[in-house]
Amino acid sequence: MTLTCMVVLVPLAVAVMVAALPRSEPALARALALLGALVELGLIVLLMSRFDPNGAALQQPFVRPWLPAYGVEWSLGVDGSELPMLLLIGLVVPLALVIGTPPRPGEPPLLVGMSSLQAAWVAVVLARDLITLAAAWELAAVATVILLGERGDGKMGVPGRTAAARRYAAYVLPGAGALIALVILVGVAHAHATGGVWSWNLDVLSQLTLPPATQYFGFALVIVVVATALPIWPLHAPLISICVSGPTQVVAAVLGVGGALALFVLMRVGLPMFPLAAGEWADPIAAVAVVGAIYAALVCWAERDPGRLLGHVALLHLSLAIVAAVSGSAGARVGLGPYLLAHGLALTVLTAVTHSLRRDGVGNLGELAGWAAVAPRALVLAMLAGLLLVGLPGSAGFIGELGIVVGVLREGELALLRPATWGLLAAASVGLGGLGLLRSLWQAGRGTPRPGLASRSSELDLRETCVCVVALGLALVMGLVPGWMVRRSEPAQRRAVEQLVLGRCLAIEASGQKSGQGRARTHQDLGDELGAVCLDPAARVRQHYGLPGAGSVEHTDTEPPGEAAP
Amino acid sequence: MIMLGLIADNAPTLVEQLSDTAPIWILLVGALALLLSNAFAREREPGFLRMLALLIVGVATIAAWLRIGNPIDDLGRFVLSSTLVTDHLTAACDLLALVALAGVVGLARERGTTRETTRRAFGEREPLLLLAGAGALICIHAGDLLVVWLGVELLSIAALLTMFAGHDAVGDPAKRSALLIQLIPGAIVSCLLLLGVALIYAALGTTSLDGFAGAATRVFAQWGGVQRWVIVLERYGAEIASQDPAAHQQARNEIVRGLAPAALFLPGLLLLLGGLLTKLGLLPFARRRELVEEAPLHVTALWSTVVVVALVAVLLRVFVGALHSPRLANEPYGWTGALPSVALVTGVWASVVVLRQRRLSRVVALLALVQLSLVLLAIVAAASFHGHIGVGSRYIAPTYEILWSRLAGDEAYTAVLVLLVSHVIATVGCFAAIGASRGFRGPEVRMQHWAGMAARRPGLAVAFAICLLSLVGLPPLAGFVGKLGVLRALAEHSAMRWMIIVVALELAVCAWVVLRIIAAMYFGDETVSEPGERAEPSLWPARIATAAALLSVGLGLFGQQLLVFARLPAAGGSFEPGDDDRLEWLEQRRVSWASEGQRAVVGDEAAELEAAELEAETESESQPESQPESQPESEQRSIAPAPAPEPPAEPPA
Repeated sequence: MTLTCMVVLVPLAVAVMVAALPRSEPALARALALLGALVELGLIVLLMSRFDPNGAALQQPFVRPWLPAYGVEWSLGVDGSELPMLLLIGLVVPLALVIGTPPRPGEPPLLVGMSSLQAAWVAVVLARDLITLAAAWELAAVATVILLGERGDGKMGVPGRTAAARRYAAYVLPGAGALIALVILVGVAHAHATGGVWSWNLDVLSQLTLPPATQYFGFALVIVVVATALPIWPLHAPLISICVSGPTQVVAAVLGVGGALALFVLMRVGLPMFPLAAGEWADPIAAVAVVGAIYAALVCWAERDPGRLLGHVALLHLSLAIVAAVSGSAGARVGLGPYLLAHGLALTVLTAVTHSLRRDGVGNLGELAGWAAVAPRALVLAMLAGLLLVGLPGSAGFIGELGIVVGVLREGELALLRPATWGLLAAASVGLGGLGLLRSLWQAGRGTPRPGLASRSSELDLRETCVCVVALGLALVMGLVPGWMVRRSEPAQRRAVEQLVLGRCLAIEASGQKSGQGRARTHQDLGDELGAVCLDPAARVRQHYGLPGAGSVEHTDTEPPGEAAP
Repeated sequence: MIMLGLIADNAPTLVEQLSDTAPIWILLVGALALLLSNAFAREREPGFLRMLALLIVGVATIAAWLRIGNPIDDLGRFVLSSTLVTDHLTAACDLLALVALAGVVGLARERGTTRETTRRAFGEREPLLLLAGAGALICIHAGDLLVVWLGVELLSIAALLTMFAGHDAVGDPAKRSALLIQLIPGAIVSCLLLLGVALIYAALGTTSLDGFAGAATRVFAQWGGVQRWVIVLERYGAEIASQDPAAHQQARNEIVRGLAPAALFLPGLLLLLGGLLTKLGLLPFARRRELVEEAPLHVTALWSTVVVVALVAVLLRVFVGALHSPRLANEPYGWTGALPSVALVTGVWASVVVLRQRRLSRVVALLALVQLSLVLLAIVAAASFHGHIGVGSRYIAPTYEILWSRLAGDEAYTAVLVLLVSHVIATVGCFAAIGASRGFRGPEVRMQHWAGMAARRPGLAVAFAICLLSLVGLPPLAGFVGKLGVLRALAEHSAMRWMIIVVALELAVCAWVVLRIIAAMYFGDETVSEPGERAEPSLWPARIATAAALLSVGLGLFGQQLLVFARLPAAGGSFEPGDDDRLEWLEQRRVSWASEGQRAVVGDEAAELEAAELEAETESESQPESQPESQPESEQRSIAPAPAPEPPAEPPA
């Protein structure tokens, strides 16, 4: 059994153990779940430390046949690009388990669900087979929806929670359906390209060149999958609802990991398999992300409800990550690692603080004049988290933001027509929105407390304070010593970008062919058929689209640039 | 005996023929024995008859199990004067129907809740369930359309009477009238079914499935043969009539003689198909299902599982196995024309209706209906593939295209059977879980009664959740394997590809409903009591639910075994029993499967080898002096992404 397999199985084992405990022992159940999450974190750190960036492209492989007749296998492995995501999951889940209300009877199912969710997330990240990935994604979607509805019914339930969970399900489940459709589409395309061989291996599938129509349709399915889980403007409404009324632990985990995981799926599945569509749709996607960022930044200045503010901060911060993901820049992809880590850790802190306000019945930050005198720790921690999101120098957020902006500006011109516009606008929006958040917190904290505020609003307890301090400390440490993680993920990201450009180039060449235009082919078959093409894929792509800096390449264009996209 | 065809040269003896269809006789004799033993049941504990019934079904199941994968069935044969048939399909469907029947018998309760009297406690339920099971097996083994009708009638009448044997339904006048209403449409459908068989007999001169495809082809050959005479008469009819009226009259007679069989056959075929679909409860006859769902739980379970297995087996035998010739399968005259639309509309309707539904038994029945719509889509795909003519379009030569279509047809057939298995197991498990609850445990159980069930009975809640999730196809449960196959078949079929989106949305809606139930079970208000009767339920329903959940997980994780179980009947499914081509094709497929198995083993070993190499590599690289600067890309890949070697039977691109 490899480490990758253990990393998936340990949370499942923890879930089974917690489920076996009596419901009357919530403290014991939470302690066991936390211990399991810490063991998982240890395994992830061990996996990362054992990863050799100069070694094999895929390390710690675990492959077992599942449905050989359909070419499906249980396949896990690490290529380096997923290490930041793994660390994010490993860090956020134990922190999320500790925040929220103290242990209470009836909590074990929530902990079982959280552990199962962690296992599913880890499996999504480590999966090397599209069906394994889809299976884990569906499990994660199911677990998330169920967990968000925790105690949403009955007399003791939280008002609005069931409705929020339903709303979230209404968005996520069509995405889950779209993923199934995508799986079938790609599998059939592979079978057609190889004369009837079924395989869902991600490495094999990324070696396919699909016809343009299939690429556009497939990428649209990916967008449906990702956009419903990210969230992306204007599909962010369910996220806001769950931030207002969802269970604290689940909200922290979903905000911290859920969106980042959707981006990961976009980069792992969407971009390599549909490079042509990904390249041509990068600008519209970046534009939507930037519009979302501007919208969220403005809302951050005006919003007074803590839960809604939290949701819009998440939307704001992910917008820059979306631009990075579609920019086709290796530097931006590398910067995405620390950026998402800062995102997850800061949002965990903000969730703890805003949900403590919710527990106290505070639905409007305007009611909190003088909050600093009543709950100084909560205010300080929230403001530090806000600074982390803005990109406090020396923190992981700063490193990530810097990497993304520089990467998009330097290398983003191949995918984005206006990399500077989108990159700078998104970064500026993040800064603007972060300032809005800080302003709201500052205004809530200053002044003398209103009469009765001390009795109404409570300070974060020691447990939650420790969690927030640890989260912020980790973000600082990773900002000060980013090399350990960046060094491991960089080669894989460079390879991924090279593959992306090559795939795009081959798709362009294949779409220019008169015969076999509507047929899926492997890169190898295409190379045999077309001869020496795509020797300099980036130059070929530039030449095809008439991008600046296009030099002459050996292969002449088969059609005018404007007619490439249908 | 000789005239009856029971004894002939080189033919199987009567004993062999009876042993071929042993499960049917076991159930029929067992039902009679149960009726007799009922006299003793009153003196004993309530579960006495159930234990006996389960024993009988168990014996029949063992008899069916022994025939699974038996090489004797490779060729398949008609027995008992071609009234019945045995092959791999019958063996697989027998086993499935019997497992479902065991579940139905097990989940039925001992006593009713309302105004129970000694008279009502009469133990006719178990014999009737066994008779319904026998009817299902007769349908599965039917080698003649009349036997199909007989089987369907035995199944329907026994199932209908079982409703009245369920004491709760009889106790409520509204439900009683609703159940009585069942009789009228049921009788009408039976008449239409029989009329369809009669028309087919009028067209073919036989109702036997032995040589049915050939007879049907002859009908169309006759039809095609007189077409030129029709043209001649249209053009020169008046001239011929003026010159030779007798010849004109004779020509008209010949044309009528050529066209009449087809004119009778097509309506007969449609009536037969419509009757079967009505019995299955598809739209526009789904209202009947709702009435059925008013019945006791085991009756609903019977209709959703045993009846489905039996009628789907008939569809596979008659429509895919015998009527898959291009003209019969495809439009404009083919039977597959409207069927995908009916299936799709039914699935969409069920997935929309289930959103508003609160009764758990109805929710499960509607989810089962969605499954059934998928099964029908896969049946249409299978028939369409088998009826495909290689036209050599695009990039595939006609020979390879025909080969591809046969393989795709077999895969779609496999998907039907796999989905059927997962459907039956999950549905029985769901109904059993509902039947295992305290308080209400029949059709009156609502979602709110199960709120907080995870706190009260965690095992039951887990089993119910797993079965529900398997019904909507959550990986890695058994339902996922079935749905993957169906979706793959739809994706292969260019005319049905668009349906994947609809099916995915259907499943998403169903998943929503299932998640709502699971959320209520795990996070619902724990203080909700379970209204209804105070008596403790029997242990059998809980056992069945647990077994179904374990099977759903096991068959999902080891889904290849499920595929292996289904692909043998599927490979012979497009041939008539006794057709020598079937043997040849099975041999080819076995070679292909063997190579597939070898690939799996080799892949497994290769992965272990690579892992070991990697470990060694990592150890060696941990020493700085031996660490190379960089490695070539080809050596860096630890898992070769190159596709597996192409199986010999599959067409090249």
